[in-house]
Amino acid sequence: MKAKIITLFFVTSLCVQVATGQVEESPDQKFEDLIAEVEVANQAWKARLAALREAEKNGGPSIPADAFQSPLIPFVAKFDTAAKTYADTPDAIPYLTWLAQNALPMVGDQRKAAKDAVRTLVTTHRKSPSLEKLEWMVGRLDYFYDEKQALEVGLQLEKESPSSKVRAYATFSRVGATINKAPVDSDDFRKAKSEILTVLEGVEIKDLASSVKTRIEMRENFSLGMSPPDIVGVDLDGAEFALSDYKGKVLFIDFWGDW
Amino acid sequence: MLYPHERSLVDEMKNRPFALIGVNSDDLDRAQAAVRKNEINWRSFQNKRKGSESSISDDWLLYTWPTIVVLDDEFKVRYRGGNCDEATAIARQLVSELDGKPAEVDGQ
Repeated sequence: MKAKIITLFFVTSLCVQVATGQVEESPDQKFEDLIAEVEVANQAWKARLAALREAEKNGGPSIPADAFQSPLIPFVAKFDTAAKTYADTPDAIPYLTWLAQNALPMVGDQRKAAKDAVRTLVTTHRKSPSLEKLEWMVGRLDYFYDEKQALEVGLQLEKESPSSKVRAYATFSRVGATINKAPVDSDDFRKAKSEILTVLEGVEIKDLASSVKTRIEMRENFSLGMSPPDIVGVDLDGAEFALSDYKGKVLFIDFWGDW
Repeated sequence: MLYPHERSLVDEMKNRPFALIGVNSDDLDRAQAAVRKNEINWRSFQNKRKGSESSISDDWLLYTWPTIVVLDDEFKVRYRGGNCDEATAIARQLVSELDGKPAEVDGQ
């Protein structure tokens, strides 16, 4: 009887705490709730835009510019605050990843939050397999750091990440510029090529592998004595022409701009 | 500014196996204004392709501007870099080898 009363007391107490919001939700649950909020806002945004489009099509007013604004913008601060609440713990990772994946194309404070999130992920959480979700961001650390810092952070990822994909992206971040710019007959180019192709052999990152192989092939075919790809395009008056139209002549090609 | 040098190169190479082709990275209005203002007498591609993320400079893996590429009559790269004088000397030499006329030298 006594045991039943105690159990009833705890159950009742728990119900009261849940009803009054005293029970702290788990970090995972909080994240799921926030994602659900984002989804609701996204659906509402899509529905409003569709209605405005329909109205415009039927002779109504033009769609106001603010209707195109991403519904995710107000959520950046919420994810950022949550990430800071769980700072330095693995519970921050989903929030930081969301910021990196969604806020980077934004501007101002939102973009800054995204860049900070990437920096935190690749340093504080460098041993997390979740970094695979950052994909190209790990391969372009120079976008988030100056040259020296990008190199340091990349080397640490190459050494410590448990994910072969993350390590491959980090290697690309380190050697990508050499692949792109070093003379193809230089030792630096040869070493960079060997390193990245070796790393890519062991992992399944199709986009990166094909992009790197194409670049290497292009660079090697573009050295002195090689034939570059033809250019087919339009001139400044919109008329189409091809560089190969001039084959048989010496071509002086100037990549220019009016700076 | 390479315009005066390039204009005179185009004039110098008239009726010879030579073409100067530009690849312009400005937006179209600006590029057209530059052509008028600087009396640019050579044809240029628009670097950015319409409806595509890719550009000619991406395809050619060029990351610095201005860059000059000199191709010989067989469409092979004979110069790639940013030194206009060096590119011009190579182009003159190649044209001279093709048509048998002596290569001119700047300032003579």
